[in-house]
Amino acid sequence: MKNSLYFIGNAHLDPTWLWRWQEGCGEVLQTFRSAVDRLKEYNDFVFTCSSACYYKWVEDIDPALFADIRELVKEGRWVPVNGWWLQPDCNMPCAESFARQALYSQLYYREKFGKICTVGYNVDSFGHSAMIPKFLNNAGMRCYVMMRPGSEENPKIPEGLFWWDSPDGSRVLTYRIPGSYAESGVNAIDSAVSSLKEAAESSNHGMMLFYGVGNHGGGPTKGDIEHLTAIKNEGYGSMKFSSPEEFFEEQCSLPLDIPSVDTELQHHASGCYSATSVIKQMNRKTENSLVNSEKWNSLSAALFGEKGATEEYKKAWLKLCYNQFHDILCGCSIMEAYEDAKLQLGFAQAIAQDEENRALLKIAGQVDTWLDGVSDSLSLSERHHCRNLDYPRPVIVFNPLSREVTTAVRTYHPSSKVTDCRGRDVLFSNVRSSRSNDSHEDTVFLVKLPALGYALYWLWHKDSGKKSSAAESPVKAGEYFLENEKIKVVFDSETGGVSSIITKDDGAEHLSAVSLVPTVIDNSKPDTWAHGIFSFHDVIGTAKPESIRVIEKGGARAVIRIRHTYGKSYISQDFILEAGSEMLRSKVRVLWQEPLTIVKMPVTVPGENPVPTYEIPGGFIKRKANGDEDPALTWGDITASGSGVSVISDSKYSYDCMGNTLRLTILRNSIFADHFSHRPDADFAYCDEGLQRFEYGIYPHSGPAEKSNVQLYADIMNNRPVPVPAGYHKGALPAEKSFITIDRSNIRLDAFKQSEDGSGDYILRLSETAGVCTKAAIVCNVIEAGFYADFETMETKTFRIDSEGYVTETDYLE
Amino acid sequence: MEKIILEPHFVRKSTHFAPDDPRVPGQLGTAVCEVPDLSDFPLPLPSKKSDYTCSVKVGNIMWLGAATGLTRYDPDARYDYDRVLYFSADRDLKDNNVKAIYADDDGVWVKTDQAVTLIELPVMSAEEISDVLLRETLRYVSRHSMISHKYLSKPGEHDSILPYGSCDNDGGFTSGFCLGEIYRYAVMKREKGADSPEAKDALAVARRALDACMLLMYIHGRGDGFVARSYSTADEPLPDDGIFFRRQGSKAICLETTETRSRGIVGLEIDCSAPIPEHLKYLYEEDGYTLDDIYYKCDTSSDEITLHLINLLFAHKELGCDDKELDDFIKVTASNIVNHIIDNGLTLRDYSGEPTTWARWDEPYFTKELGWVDAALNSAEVLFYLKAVMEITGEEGRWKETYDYLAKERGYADLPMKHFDRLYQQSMRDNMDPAEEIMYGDHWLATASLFGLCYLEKDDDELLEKYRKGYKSWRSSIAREHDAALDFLYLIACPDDDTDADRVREWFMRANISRLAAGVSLKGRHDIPVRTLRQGYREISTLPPQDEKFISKYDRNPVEYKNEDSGGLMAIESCYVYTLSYWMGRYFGFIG
Repeated sequence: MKNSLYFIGNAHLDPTWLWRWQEGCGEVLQTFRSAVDRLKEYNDFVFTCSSACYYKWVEDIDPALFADIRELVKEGRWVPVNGWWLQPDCNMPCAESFARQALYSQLYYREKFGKICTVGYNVDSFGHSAMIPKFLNNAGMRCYVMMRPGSEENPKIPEGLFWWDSPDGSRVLTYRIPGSYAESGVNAIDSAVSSLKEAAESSNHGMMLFYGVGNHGGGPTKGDIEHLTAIKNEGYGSMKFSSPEEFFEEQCSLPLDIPSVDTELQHHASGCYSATSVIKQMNRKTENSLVNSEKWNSLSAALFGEKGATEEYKKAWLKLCYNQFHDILCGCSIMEAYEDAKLQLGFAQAIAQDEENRALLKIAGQVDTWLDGVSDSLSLSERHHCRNLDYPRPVIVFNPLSREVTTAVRTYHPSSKVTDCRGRDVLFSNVRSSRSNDSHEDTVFLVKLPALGYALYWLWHKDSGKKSSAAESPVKAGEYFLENEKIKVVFDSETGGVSSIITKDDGAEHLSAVSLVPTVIDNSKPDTWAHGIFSFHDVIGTAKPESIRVIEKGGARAVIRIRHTYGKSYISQDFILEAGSEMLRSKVRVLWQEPLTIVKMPVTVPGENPVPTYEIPGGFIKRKANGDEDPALTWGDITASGSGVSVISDSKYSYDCMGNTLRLTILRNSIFADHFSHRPDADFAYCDEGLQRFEYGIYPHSGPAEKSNVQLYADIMNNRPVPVPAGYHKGALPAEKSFITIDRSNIRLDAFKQSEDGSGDYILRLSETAGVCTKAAIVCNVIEAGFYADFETMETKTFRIDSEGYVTETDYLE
Repeated sequence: MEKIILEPHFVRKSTHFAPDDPRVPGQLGTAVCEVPDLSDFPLPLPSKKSDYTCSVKVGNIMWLGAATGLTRYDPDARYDYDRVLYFSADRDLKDNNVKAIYADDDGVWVKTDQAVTLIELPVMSAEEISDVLLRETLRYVSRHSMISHKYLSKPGEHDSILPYGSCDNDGGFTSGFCLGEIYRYAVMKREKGADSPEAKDALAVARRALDACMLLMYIHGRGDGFVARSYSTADEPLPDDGIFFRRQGSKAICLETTETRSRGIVGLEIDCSAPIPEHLKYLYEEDGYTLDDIYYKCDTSSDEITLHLINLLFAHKELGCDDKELDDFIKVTASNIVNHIIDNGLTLRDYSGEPTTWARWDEPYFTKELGWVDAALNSAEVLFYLKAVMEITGEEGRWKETYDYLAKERGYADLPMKHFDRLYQQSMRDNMDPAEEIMYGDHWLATASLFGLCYLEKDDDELLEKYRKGYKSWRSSIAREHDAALDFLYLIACPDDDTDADRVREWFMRANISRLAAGVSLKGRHDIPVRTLRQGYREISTLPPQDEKFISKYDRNPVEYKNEDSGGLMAIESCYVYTLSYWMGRYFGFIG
């Protein structure tokens, strides 16, 4: 048994790629029908297939076929694998997305087939983030099958079996497929059998041979099955038609002596971390809006004794899960596929927005905002402008994060005075609105918000005659500088870049060269994926500064606008420094029209031994400063000699770091689905052509990135507070309140939702973010719960809270 | 880890009274039971909010009574872990239904269904706590100077201690106790001088415990380096647990137990003519026993050997330096044990000439199903024995040859690194969570062996690196305990790693001042989540402070979801969990 070959009949299905999802759905139906036919024809044959999404399609469209499959699953001849909705990209979805991939899929499998999948299976995904073992273990999976990167891309990853660990202590017994996930035809199978026999003998454990026509579905042909049957009958050790489940179970009974790997499995398709910005931005925005909306919905449900919108959120999350499919999120599908993705993610965001609005207005309606006399009759003019100038306007600002947040928020209409709920003046600025109507001005004001809660602010209209007695603004701006009480930033007139960032508490200079000058790189050789290319350093120019001007000064913030041009393109950046902030924010508008180019924003720091650190799904990772393109979530960081600079973004996923320079890749303008750069002449469409709006931030700090405030600033940028203009009313809720508090800043609330079983129990998911073992106290008075929990480095724990406030620790499957 | 300072800290003291006891203040009966408003309470509460029925405020400190126990809230406490305390039955209260609370100068009087309890929080230093625990152990737990635990005839009553009650691991536990006392002696000698009363007291306690351990190496009279697990005297009941031989003149006769019946060896006679060292005889003679009164337990495991050797290592280092005669005896004893193991093919040979069940360090055992998982620990153990005996004797010879052969040629130095791999694979095979596979008793054995190897391997960086990796392979499960001694030794061996100083401080500051079993009300706590593992075993999601969890030695899962102390309500445990950690911390400089 030790040296067995296990024949794994499968059909690799890309539901969207060089075709749209509708065709992929048809492909699934045909493949499943074919597999059922083969199973009926060949008694030994076993079929393996991943992705709950496919089963759901078949169940909805062809119930008879689905009934056949259920029977075959019961017999153990059809084996569902991968308790996820499909094979997502494994670098860019956030941790909560991986939780939802598992939650909805495993519950579906349990409902339809009576059991969950025990084997994770992402054979085509383009590299695997270091925390994937955590995501699998939390979903009941302790085994994993992967293939990319191939051995030519990363020979350090063992072929065949190995232990794969993530820093929280999770572990999966992993099988890296040598060769292909879709061997088919006599020659291919013979060759695979021959090499796998050798591998089985040298490794001292069994090997799996994956066969069947794939990518556009298909599955094992009669020829494949019959040829493998003949080989099996010839006899070599032991061979059998089998499944990954059986393979892992049998290998576990052997005294395995296999290597362990404790880092990410990279790289394949390094260009995919940046190609097609629109899908990346929509992914990030949808993730954040769903997570935040669900928190407010759940709090509203708890406060008002209602049922949460669990079913609606499930629909929304599943649309997101689908569009995290590796060929979609990686930006390497056809252009038309992104029109579908926009519709589907728009659907998800609309649900999030509807539910959030409903919840926030309900909560806001219970906050006591009443001012005596405010209901007295108004003049015609006041009624026209919806305001009574004698009274301030109440604005309730909601903070979706589980940490106290200080930042600036914006509301419509200009103000003459802003106070907090204790009557203290706060800093504000009247700033140019996006509209050209009415006053043309909005109010930006500083707020200090309790963790996952709200605070009431009062805004007097600019015409009210009220005067602010706020302290003098610490924010200053000059022709080429911005500064507040925390940092000073100097811009370079020659390049339009940033030449200096000094932190005032220690006087440290954080830059050693002019930074943030948009740098253009040749992208003509790589295909959309950048197959075989792992770094992008062929600089062909830098954008030239066209103008630098101060556009806001004082109050809550100051802003310098810098406009660069390159070819037929421009990049306009509003560099914003808020009072009290340690982060310089850049609001970017790019109109890009340069085919086959990449644009990067470099930051160069002083010091020795630079270490780049990046946020990844469910944690962070330290990598080498070797110039490779690397995936990351909301932030990348370079730290040298004890201080560093983080680059935070609201929608980007790709960085490189060479020596002391970290570069954020802001766009990569490839041809859509340009596979291995076969480019017969055409009027090509480019995946990052046109207008983009996004934000990034620069955060200087001392000490290692993960121990700094980078995660807080990244979370604030990605999860903005929501100001809700309120009416005047009595209410039972106080002027400020936190609904959930956590006494440790490195424990983050990833999700707060109602459980899927309809019991009304609440689910609370928490993660450690700084790489420190931590004991935390969590209090959620709104559901009468408060508890302690220990966390390992980067560990995620999920808790279920019943109607009595008693807490049990569970997993993603609740 | 930064050096920690252990300031004097409160400890819990409960005194129970009958409700009609005249010492109970009358005000308790008339205390107004106001239901406290806890709607925005800022911290997790041990009881459900609606269970709280009464409260009293003393300064800023609030005492809250609930149907499920008593809570103390100090918003100004210096340390987070002192802000909310939970008092529960049976350790703190007679029962959990708190009906009234009254505070006076004596403390807080708590009326429950069955009694009135006076709760006091006297302040003690860590050294004072160590001393209180030590005296309790010496008075109640010592049995023929072996220190493990004792049983009671009445729950919670020191004076109901049964005079007998051997333990399977008497040898190992006594070694652990002894090691703590050796560290105490070394610290006192360093700080106050060898002639100080404190140093002399520590030396006396350490010497007696060391003698008790070493007697086990001779009590069987085999003269071959074998080590008995434990021994009892004829007036103690024979436990039906394993294999025992009763000494009769120059022969030892196998006694009847279930195990010996199944092996068919009841009445088997073996030689026991090897002499007992004269200076150890006092341990049984002072109580009026002779050798013929003794029966010993013989199916010794690797556990005892490991703990004896780490104890002998530090006894040599800290006691032997002042006492050549003792040091020579330590050298001979350690040599005897290790030679026995080498001479018997890396096993401990039992009465039959066959290996004992659990003392095998040989390769054939490592290829068996059980041995395959054990190999990661046992390989480290035997390498440590060899390294330790070289250090103790200052000689190399066959020990060095064996060490090099095993470590380098037979791959023993690589095996410790496989611990987690094998444990994890076993858990997959058994469909268990890895946490369900952990043997908590192994943590001290792995710590002793791998710390010992890292501490002693000064010549070969490659081997040292392997031992460190091996140690790290254990770390995730050892770290679950948040045990100070386990953490200290790990940090010495793996200085590139760190641990949370606050947790260590909490571990000491929130200690119990008695090792008398009583049990706590862990089940039903509102502030501690419970999780169910694959095979139904239940754990809690956080390790409570020592004074709110059950007591045990180094052999229990500290996050087990259970109310009962080790041994239930009818036991008293050895103090060495605390004393060893405290004096080790002082000895190695972790505690300032």
